[in-house]
Amino acid sequence: MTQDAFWSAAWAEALRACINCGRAPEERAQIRRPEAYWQAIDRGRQTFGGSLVLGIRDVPRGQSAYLTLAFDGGACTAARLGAQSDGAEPRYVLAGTQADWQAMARDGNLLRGIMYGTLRLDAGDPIAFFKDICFFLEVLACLARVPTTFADGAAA
Amino acid sequence: MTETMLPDALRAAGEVDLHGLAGVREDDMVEYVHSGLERLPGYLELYARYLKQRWDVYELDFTQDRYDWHERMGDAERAAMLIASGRFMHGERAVEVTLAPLLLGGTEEQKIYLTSQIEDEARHVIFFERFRREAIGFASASVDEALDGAYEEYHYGGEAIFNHALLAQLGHCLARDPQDMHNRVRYATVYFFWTEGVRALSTFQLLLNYCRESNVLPGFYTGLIATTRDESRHVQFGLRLLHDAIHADPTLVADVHEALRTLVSINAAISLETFNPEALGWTTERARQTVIRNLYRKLDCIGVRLPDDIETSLGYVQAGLGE
Ligand SMILES: [Fe+2]
Ligand SMILES: [Fe+2]
Repeated sequence: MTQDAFWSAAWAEALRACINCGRAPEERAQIRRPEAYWQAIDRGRQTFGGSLVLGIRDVPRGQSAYLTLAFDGGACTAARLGAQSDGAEPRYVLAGTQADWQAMARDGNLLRGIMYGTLRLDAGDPIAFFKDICFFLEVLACLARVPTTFADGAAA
Repeated sequence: MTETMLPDALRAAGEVDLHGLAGVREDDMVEYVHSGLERLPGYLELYARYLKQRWDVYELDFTQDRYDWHERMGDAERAAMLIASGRFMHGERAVEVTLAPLLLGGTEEQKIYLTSQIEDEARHVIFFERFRREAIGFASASVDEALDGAYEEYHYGGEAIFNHALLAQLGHCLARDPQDMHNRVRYATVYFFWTEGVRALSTFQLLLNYCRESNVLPGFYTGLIATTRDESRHVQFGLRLLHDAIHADPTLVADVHEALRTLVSINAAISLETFNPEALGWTTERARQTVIRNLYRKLDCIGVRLPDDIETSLGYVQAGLGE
């Protein structure tokens, strides 16, 4: 499988495809979660509209600081890199350092970064975000499911 | 009811020192926590009580606990205590750090009180860290290492990490605008009301009951019952804060409701426990009923009525293990 560079346009497109693909029932069955967990993910997928923006705080000069994931009608309709979050006002902006996002791409553990306070919602209501937390965890788990390479040559 | 009007057992629970606490029963302590709720104490009254009730976490002795852990406890009991102590160490840390932005707003009396609670929570982190290192035998060189080392048992299977992650985000909102009453009420609902007042208190009851009935872990029992007494001040502060805020602006009830909707939705989607309270002597139903009872005892005192949808969801709330 080809490995696109982390935070590149091709990688963003692969991420979008992974988000829309979801998990097969056999894959879900292997993950120890109650039925209600998968229902919460499916509910979030159907109802979330607007954009979830990922931000890098310490972005190197000349690189895009934001990845805007746009959702509409149950699908991720666009994944765009830019100097600013684009489109209408985003529902959520979740930001961290490059190291935080690379760690996330390696182990897929979003909750750890949020719990330790390194990944922070710079915009958006946390109470609403956490009502759909299972859906967002599933969306961002794709960061670790899409093979990628980092600037230092390492792969994940 | 003032402290001096309490029945003897409850008054003793409030007054004894650390060594005396070893002999206080957990149900008396839980009654003591709730005894202040009919007349919520003022912020400085709680601060004064803190000065009398604070204890030295380094006075606890885990020698017998170490023996009990390795020689007298069964695998299922150890597994449950391992999860609980790891989650609580993280839970205490989550509030220790997120109370700091809460302290930046509010009245000056609230701020003075909060200095005491931050110190309490830091001491509780050390209590669980010492138990895990000295009784269980983890070789962590620092608190950071102890927290990272407990991450797996904390992360897997329970809702605790979700609630702590939500607290961290609410803490960022407070840091941006510490006087925003919506932020303050939401934080208070998630932390003082739910995480601490309902979930942690219920699990503390279970763990204390297990230690006392099985006659094991005396150092842990003493530290945990002292911690529970500290929580009585925290819960009473939080409920006072919610009560005063809602009294001043009744529209803030909507923030309590929204926060509760999110919390019960997390509970419904996440609770798949890797542990069963029966390992520690309680049926799942007893654990659940304890959670529900601890919840309704607090709702009344802040004068919040629940809309039907939340009322219905609460009927399905599952007991978890951990704060
Ligand atoms: Fe605590
Ligand atoms: Fe507390």
